[in-house]
Amino acid sequence: MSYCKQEGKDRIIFVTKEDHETPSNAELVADDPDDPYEEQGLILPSGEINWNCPCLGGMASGPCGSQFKEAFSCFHYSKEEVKGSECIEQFRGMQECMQKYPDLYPQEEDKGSSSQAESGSAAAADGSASLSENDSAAEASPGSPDSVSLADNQAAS
Amino acid sequence: MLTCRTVWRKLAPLGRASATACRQSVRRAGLNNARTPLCVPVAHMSTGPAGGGGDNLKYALLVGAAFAGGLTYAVLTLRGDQDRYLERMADISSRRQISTVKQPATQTLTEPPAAGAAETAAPPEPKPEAPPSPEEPSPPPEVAGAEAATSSEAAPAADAKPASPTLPSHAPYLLIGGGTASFAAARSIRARDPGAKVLIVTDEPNLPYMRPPLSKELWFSDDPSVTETLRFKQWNGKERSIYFQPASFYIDAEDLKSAENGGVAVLTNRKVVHMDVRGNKVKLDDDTEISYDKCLIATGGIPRNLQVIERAGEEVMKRTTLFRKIEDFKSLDKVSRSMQSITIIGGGFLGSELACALGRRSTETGLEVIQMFPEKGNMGKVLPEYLSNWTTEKVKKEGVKIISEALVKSVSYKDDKLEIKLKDGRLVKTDHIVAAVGLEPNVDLAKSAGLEVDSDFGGYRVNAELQARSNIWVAGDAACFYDIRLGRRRVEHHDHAVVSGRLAGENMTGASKPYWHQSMFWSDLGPDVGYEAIGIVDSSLPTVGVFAKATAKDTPKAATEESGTGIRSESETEDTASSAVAPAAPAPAVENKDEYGKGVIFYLRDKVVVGIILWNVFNRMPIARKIIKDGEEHADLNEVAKLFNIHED
Repeated sequence: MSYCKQEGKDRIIFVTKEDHETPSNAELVADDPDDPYEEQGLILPSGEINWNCPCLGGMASGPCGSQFKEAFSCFHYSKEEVKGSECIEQFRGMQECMQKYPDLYPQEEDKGSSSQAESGSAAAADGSASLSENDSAAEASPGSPDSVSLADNQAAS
Repeated sequence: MLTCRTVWRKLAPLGRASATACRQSVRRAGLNNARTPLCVPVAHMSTGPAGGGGDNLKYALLVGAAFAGGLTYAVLTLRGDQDRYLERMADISSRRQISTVKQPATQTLTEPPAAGAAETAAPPEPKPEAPPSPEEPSPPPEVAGAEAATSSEAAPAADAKPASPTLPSHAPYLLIGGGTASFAAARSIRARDPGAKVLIVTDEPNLPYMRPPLSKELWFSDDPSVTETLRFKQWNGKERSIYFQPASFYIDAEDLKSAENGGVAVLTNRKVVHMDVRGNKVKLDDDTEISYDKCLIATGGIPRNLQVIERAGEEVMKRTTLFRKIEDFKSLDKVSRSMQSITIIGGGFLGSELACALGRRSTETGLEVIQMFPEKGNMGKVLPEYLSNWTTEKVKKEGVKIISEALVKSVSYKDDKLEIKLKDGRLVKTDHIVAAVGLEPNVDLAKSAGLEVDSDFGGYRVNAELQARSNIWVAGDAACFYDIRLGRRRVEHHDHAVVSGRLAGENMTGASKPYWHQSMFWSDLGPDVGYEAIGIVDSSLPTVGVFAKATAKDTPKAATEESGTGIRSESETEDTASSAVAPAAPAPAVENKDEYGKGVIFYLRDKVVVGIILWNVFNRMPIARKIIKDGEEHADLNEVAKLFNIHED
């Protein structure tokens, strides 16, 4: 049984689980998905890639940023049956660049980085990004669906 | 017919009279533009072609001269612009040195003056043709952005000893300050402007790093060399450094100009002492001048000190730490291992976190940790009283001796101990003091740059787009900005630095977005108490708290394990610091007889929710952000609280 007490200007309400089971009747204002003020997700409403998305970590801004952007853009706009199959050159360029900075892009993720980027792009096409948020690698973050979906919530809200 | 002639004869003398009067008045007035239409037909008949005599001539000469002068000036300016452009291109490709010629920054020749200006513009102009003459009366400054940079070819020969032979003289993006906001802006700029060249100038000796672990995670590390490595382990075992990026991420300052794809360069141990907004350049403490296209001021602040301590003399000051930087962490760590008693003055975020961190250490070393503050309980200015009291009890459990409602009257050094005398007569003897009594925003550049400083909140006053003046933005702790939703404010939290830095970077690269995405903050006080908050969280506002009973699962530690992310705030923004707590105590079944286990607290201003604290409830920040963004009046906040599902994990 929930109860309420007042301490000066502060009100305190204690609620049980049952009290909160009924759905809320609080009204929230509908969001405009194209609101220019809001933080956008990985893909902007225009279809372009948002290089400033927090989900990309520092991938687009580091020393290999331009190679990453080329590879990822190529993948994103690829219309081949196997998406990104014509982008091998760009991905190779990106990998070569990343090999020059082993402490920024840990090398054991070698295979991971290209496949990661591809899977990330595939997911991105569906509106979510599984690219790592960690700068120091294109590590496969061990299934952080919460963080991903929250990033999307953030984008959607 | 006849009447006409008569009328004419009668009127003719009048006509002649008026012509004479006209002529005379013309002589008197000098300029007769307005009257000419009336007089012209008569004047033509009665006067010769010399019109109003000498006055007309003078006037004609004056107009002619002004026209000629203006025309000359325009031609010269255009020619000069082209010359300057060509020279600048030559400069950029050839020159590496920066001039140390100290020049007054008065070479802005852009005002449209009278004909006299044409003369001053003229001498610099024929420069490329004539041999360079450094003995010009006022040799212009060499900074590439300045107007009359024509003697630049001569200068490198003349200036044999620049301050540093390799510093860039121009940075398209100049970021003053090397903290969180600055780094976030650098990243944002690089993401949006391909090949951008960003120069960060910081007076610290370190590359950009995050501050929250300095008062939290770094203290809980069991690595003895943590003060050197500055690495901390998050709950999922993932370790990371407090530095945002390792050194290989950055390029050297001298390579900035030539870097094909641009990059971020950091100049450490350099302070910007003067800012010339009209000339778009800054001066460092070693007299180097750097010009910029866009500039960000992210100078943060310096910790405040108590006046009683400042007046107490050298011995007391030597034993006082103002905590903010890496070196403060290192020195406090050393102190905590060698001293027997440490007193923390201040009951806010920093003070309480340090108290908890040191309190934890006290269990190993027998260190006495005292925390004193003027409020009734920890976080007294943030949490409503009932919650503040509850929190204080928790902090006490961490091994901290709390002295509340304590106002320091004087501090003295006696018998190798510091004696703190309180206004109510209590006396505290300790070995070392940590003063955590607030931050003074750094507005040193306001005077030279002519920037407005806010009198209510401190810091540089900027608009909703974080802009102070045309090419100058401010972000982070130093920015007093206009929040469209919550009004003008200044926020001193890490996530705000990230959000505002990122926004400033976006606006510096052409976006015009206002501050809209509300930043959040968090704090952990021990393994049992952790909260995330957003908006204006001021205990003087009326609050409504909705609580449920907490189970053992509702702790910060559990939250991070649950979501699989090592960083609680990673779910909010990318790589912000961890909020998880020590591996030392594995926190078994938590006793939660207290009522305030977990819940949501709403802060109201005129019945609108302006701030929300999620108390031991995690990963629900987007909902809180939405409620604040809506800014609606909700009749029943319990209904709003339902949105948070506080009973679930």
